[in-house]
Amino acid sequence: MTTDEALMLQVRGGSRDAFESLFERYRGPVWRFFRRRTAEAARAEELAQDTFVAVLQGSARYEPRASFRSYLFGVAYNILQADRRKTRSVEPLDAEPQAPATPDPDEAMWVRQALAQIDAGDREILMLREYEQLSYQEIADLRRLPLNTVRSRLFRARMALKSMLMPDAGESAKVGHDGR
Amino acid sequence: MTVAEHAVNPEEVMAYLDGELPAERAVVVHAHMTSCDACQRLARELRGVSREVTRWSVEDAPAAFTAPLRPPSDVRSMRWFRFAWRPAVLAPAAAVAGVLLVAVFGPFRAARSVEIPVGPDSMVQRLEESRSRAPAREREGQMGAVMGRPDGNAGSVGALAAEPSKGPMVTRTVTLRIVAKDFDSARPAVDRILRDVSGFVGQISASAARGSARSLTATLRVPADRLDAALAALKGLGQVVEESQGGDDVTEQAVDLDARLTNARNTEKRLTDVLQHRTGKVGDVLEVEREIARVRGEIERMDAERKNLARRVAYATVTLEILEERRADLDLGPLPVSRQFRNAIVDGFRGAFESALGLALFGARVGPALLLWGLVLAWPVWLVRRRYRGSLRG
Repeated sequence: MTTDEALMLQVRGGSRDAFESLFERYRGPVWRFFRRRTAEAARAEELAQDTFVAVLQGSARYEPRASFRSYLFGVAYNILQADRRKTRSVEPLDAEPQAPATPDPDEAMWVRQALAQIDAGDREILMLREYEQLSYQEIADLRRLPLNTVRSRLFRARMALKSMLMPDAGESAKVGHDGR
Repeated sequence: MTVAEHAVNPEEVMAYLDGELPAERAVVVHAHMTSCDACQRLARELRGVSREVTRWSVEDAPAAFTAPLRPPSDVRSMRWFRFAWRPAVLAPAAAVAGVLLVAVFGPFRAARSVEIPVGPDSMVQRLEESRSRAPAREREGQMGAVMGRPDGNAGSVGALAAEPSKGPMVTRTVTLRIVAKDFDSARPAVDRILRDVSGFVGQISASAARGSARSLTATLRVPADRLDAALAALKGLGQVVEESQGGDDVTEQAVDLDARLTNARNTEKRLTDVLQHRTGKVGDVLEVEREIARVRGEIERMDAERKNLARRVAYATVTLEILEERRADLDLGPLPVSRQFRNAIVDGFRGAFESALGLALFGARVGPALLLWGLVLAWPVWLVRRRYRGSLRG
């Protein structure tokens, strides 16, 4: 299978087929990236569309310095930030999506409510790791944070979530490691 | 266990699980974890958090979301086009036009839209209650309770997710539009029907516009095997004016997912065997562990996806709209005619008084300035006038 980076180089050379292959591979992940961060499905679709348009536009300047995946989510993240600046508001994470009900609204609601209660910056890092599967370094580059800061904040977010989603798990980390 | 005797930082345990530690440090953490109960417990918790987080799945991307076709130069106009034709823009524009028409051609009465609380059967409320009562390991049972199952189990969902698919798997959707004579009893009837079939309300809202028929819109989730019974009962609420049913066959998707899950589990087992009987270098061991972590993550993700699919199949979605059979009546507004006349007269007097007061205030505000400029200009005007008359005499 052709790698993403190779496909993107073909896109840079003007290949429409390569772009469509990339689109098919990342259509779902990019959609989910925006759907989890916006209240309206229509807006998520528009921002996802803008991301691929931006990739198409920037293909002439593309250099395979990092993985295409991190490049793509970097573009998506910038578009999301620009949109939030434009609307002058950050979408509340606990807002119930306006689109048709998700397949499991109960479980989704549970996690969403827990995520809404943790620090916004920590939450974003955790979501980039858990849902977009970005590496620590990729998240650090994207958020312009030191690598160790990303690791600390990710740990903090996971511990906060643990106490909300798995209350019966207790305080083992603190007990065992003296809260370090 | 104290900090002094603990050689591994909890964050390092997390980074190790994420495959984010340098090789030499990963060896140390791995060796430590084999003998440290606290770190093993932490690792289990961290994996548990990741597993819980993946429970938040979102719906599939809409079919309309396709690869952008326009060349980059057209991006701006394309975005405007998309913006202008988005329902969020088009609908308010149409609403404004409608309001203007009504304002011009007839008395406008604002509609009162009432969000009906879902009541004691509210899924949200019950979820909150159950969540505050019990730990996470009991949640699966609670989900069943939340969904209205008397046994407190997730029911067929769990079973479907655990076993490979048998027979076709179809997600069913139904749209029903009903005109009801007795609108007031419709809501309790819907609750009763849902209770009978162990379904639940996804969303419900009602609209009661003055001078027009009331309506109730709801999204219901009904166990697929009891959908026909639920539909028959719902149709008894009034005259069905619109009905549509749809089904999406997801068998292929489920079979594919099952196969991938089986393969991934086999791979994980093989990798675990390799690790247990390892004889290679440290680098090889780390490579295998990274691979196990990656495969484990994939398994958990696919497992969640499979459960979601099963849930969609197990519960059909019914979009229900109930309209009241409207009986038009003469509506002269909320106030009696005599009171409206009295209010009009009072408003008239108030308007006249405010006009007179405005004029007086204008005089008071501008008068002194006019007087000042009159005094300043009187002398030059008198001189000019005198010279003009002198020139006429001359």
